[in-house]
Amino acid sequence: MKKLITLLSVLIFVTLSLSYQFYGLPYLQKIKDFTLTDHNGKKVKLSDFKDKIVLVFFGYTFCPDVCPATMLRIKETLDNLGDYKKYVKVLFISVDPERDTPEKLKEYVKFYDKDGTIIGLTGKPEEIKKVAKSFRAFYEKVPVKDNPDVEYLMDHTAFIYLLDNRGILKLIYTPRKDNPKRIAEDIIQMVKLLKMEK
Amino acid sequence: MVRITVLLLISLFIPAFSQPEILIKDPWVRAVPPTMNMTAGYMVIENKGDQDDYLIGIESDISKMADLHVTVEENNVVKMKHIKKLKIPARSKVELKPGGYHIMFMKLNKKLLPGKKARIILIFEKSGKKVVEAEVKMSN
Repeated sequence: MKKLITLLSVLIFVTLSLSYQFYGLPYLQKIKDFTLTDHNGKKVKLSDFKDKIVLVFFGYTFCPDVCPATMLRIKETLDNLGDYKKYVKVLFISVDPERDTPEKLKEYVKFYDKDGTIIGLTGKPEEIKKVAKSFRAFYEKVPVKDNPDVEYLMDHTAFIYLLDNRGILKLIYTPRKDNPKRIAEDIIQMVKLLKMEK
Repeated sequence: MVRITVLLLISLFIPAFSQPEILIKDPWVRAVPPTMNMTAGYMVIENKGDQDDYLIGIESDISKMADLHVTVEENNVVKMKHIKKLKIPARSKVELKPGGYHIMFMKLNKKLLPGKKARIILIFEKSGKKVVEAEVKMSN
């Protein structure tokens, strides 16, 4: 009898997981572990978050339009998670390490998140380059000629990457497909599928 | 003589009928962390008149500089481009919104926390200056 119940519950779980269509674009790639400096000046590794679903976003704090819009969507995603928020960490990786010091990142992430779910990361330009490469993220400095105060802006890919609790890139959200409610639903489904609930 | 006077009077009024008529709706400015010295502003610019107009300049009380930019996506890479002159076609509207046209405020001179106000002066080629008060908020 007990076996039958277990079998049934497994069957129900498999059926449920098959019936759920993820909103993000499916992907499957192991992300190589990396070390960067967090907004408190501490070295952190991706593998430090192996018990979490990790959202990764490459941006920069001087970015006036796209990055604040995406950060707000990430905040709204977290707000939609309820109790599931504890299974998530967000890594905001700066593509402008020259200007984005840990202090600046600290103020920036604090504005969107009060409880330490979002972590701002910076590092040496070559360190950032390596990490971006493993995500196939692109960025490039663009000088602003007619405005010496701004000096430069960055062209960059603005995806949100979802990594599972083993550092495997599973889903990607593009700037046109990043509804916070739907991302939150994906995260909750992912937590259930990976049986992360204790 | 009466006819000529009437014709003259009508001709005086014709230019008044053929003009742009600019209306600004829902202006808002993005609230940003206090350490940031840039932000973006958005609104809908409507031209109810029957002549095109052009947005040619922006001033504000929140920043030293303000420029019009457009965010474009090329091969999944987002880029920003400076727009010197934005056409507001007759009997049409142009929306400034996140991920598209936006006013970029640079060298902010005050902290832009939600609930504050920003005074924005939009300069149009034909309609001249239009002043709007925009709400500072966290929105998309």
